[in-house]
Amino acid sequence: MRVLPGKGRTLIAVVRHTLRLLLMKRFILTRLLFTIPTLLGVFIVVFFVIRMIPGDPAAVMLGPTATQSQIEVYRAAHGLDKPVIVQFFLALSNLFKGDLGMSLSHNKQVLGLVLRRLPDTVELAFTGIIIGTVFAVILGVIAASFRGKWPDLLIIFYSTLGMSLPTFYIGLWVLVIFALKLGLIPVVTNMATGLPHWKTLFGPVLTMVVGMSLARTTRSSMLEVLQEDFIRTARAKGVSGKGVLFKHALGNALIPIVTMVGYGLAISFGGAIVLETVFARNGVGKLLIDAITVRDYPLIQGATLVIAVFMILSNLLTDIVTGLVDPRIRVSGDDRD
Amino acid sequence: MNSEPLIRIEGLTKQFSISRGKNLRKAKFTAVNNVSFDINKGEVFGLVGESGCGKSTLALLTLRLMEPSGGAVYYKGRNIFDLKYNAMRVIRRDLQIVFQDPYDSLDPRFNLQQIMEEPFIIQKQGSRRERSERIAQLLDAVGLGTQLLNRYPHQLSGGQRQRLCIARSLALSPEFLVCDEAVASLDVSIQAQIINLLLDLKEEFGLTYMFISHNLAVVKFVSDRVGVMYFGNLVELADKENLFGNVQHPYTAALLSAVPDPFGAGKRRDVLRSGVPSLIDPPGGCVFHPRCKYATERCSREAPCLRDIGGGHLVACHRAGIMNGEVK
Repeated sequence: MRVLPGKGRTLIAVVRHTLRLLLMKRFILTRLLFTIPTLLGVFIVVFFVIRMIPGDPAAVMLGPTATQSQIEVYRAAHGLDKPVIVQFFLALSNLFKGDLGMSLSHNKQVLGLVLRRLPDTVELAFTGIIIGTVFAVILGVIAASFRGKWPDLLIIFYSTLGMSLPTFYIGLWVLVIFALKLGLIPVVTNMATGLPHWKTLFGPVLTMVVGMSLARTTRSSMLEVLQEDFIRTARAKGVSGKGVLFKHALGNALIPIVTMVGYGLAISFGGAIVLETVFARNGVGKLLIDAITVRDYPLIQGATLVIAVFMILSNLLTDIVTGLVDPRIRVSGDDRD
Repeated sequence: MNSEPLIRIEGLTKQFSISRGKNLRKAKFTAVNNVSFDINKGEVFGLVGESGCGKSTLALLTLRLMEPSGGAVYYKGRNIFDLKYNAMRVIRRDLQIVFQDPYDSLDPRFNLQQIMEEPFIIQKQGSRRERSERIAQLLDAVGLGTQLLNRYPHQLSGGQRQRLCIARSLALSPEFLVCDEAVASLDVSIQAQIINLLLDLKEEFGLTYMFISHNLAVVKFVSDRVGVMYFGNLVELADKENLFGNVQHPYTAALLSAVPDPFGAGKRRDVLRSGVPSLIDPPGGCVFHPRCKYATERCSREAPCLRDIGGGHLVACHRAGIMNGEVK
């Protein structure tokens, strides 16, 4: 991105920084240690909250024609007859052994089920965030450089609209336009076969891109940086308008943007629930929502934990990338070692 | 002295529009009002005035870091506002500026090497080796070592940063350097160092300065000629000796009497009446008349022009001479 002198030097700095972070065992270890109480908290809350929802897994699984004795046999077989607190400690001790339990509705190991669905969700989250970020940053830079003129107003209008509309509503419009009217993508993705890969991603990614609020963040961040004194210094050096915008302003404006992107990435794992439902994609989110419908307690716990792990990891990733973008953070690492 | 001055500023005016409150009517205020003066090659032109009087706006206009509402700046006889981007870029080699705040005026993402090298790259000057030689030379001239080249601005002290700003502004061997409050944000001890550095560099590189400050002691020390600005207007301009020894404008007198004098215990200060007038509704006639104790009816009616009272001493006052050049 930088068209600067010492391009090689920058590259070396980036590589060195990454290596150092990998070697910074203490930092990473501390962060990973902190995830344990967080995950434990998630597990406890989810465990008790789902049991407060009215509805009994046995009744759901066996259907309305089941007799009372059939239901009791089912409950005993899956350990649902024990007091809740006993169930909790059993589940907890299994969790520490790395066993998330058996899914009630699929009759398979929860861990295996979730891991098989995970790539779809990760693919969607990363594709959406990357394309959305690039698009939003471009729009934000255009808006900032045309401040107060019609391109700016148009971009503000578009991004406010995208931000205000709920994801499922944007998703439905994407389906109406691109699936029904244009026939470009299938309405129900997981039922269609022999699709080119991009068609399975197009709808949900477009929905994510439209729903991102990043263009406004970029715009305000750029406007703020453009008022800084060092921008005037660059102009005094004779840097052209474009050079000021990209070399001096954007690089500095990126620092808050990276934090926002990291937050967006974390959110998008949860947001996958809505997107995967609207577009019928077989990801973790869809797995979770289906599990909730049939009160599949172990599966709900497992899927939630995996989503929580990904949120925590994307926060860690954000911190690492922020260091790459901001030399002030990067170099303060130098001083320590 | 009859040759063309290095910088000739003619009728320079800058108005800003601001939206005022609910009625959304755009109001205009004049930051720099019809200012004209010359700066000769090799001199230090001091510019003083209180905060908000338009000194910095004038500095930005002089280097075309801002487009004026009217007027012209001639550099070696060419109006820089007529130049296209490429011609302007070439001229920027000769016209440089050191900003007030060395903390904000350096890109935090550039290390010293990149900060120093950027001007050469923009101006497409020198090979890689020539550049690094020149950079080492410049850093040496301002008293910074090349071992700092891989550092980032936030790792330097305030004085080091301002030295870096000066080294950067000298990179392309400019002819004319604007120092916009270049020492104001520094410690007093470092101020002295930087001022001496600037004067040494002037000798070494044959520079011409426009030295902007609200610190009269500094201006008196460095300048050959001094201009006094009030409220966007140039009210008095003279040689240093004349200005400080033979004050003509009541505003200059008030400014000078505001300087604390350690030996003048019990001396009465010439304290101004009322505050700075509203920028949006400036007073009619002479802008200074509401605060001036010598003001007459004529002063509230008619704006005085800058006139020469002899020896290149210019003053914009109907009542010039009333104080006998003395500061109370």
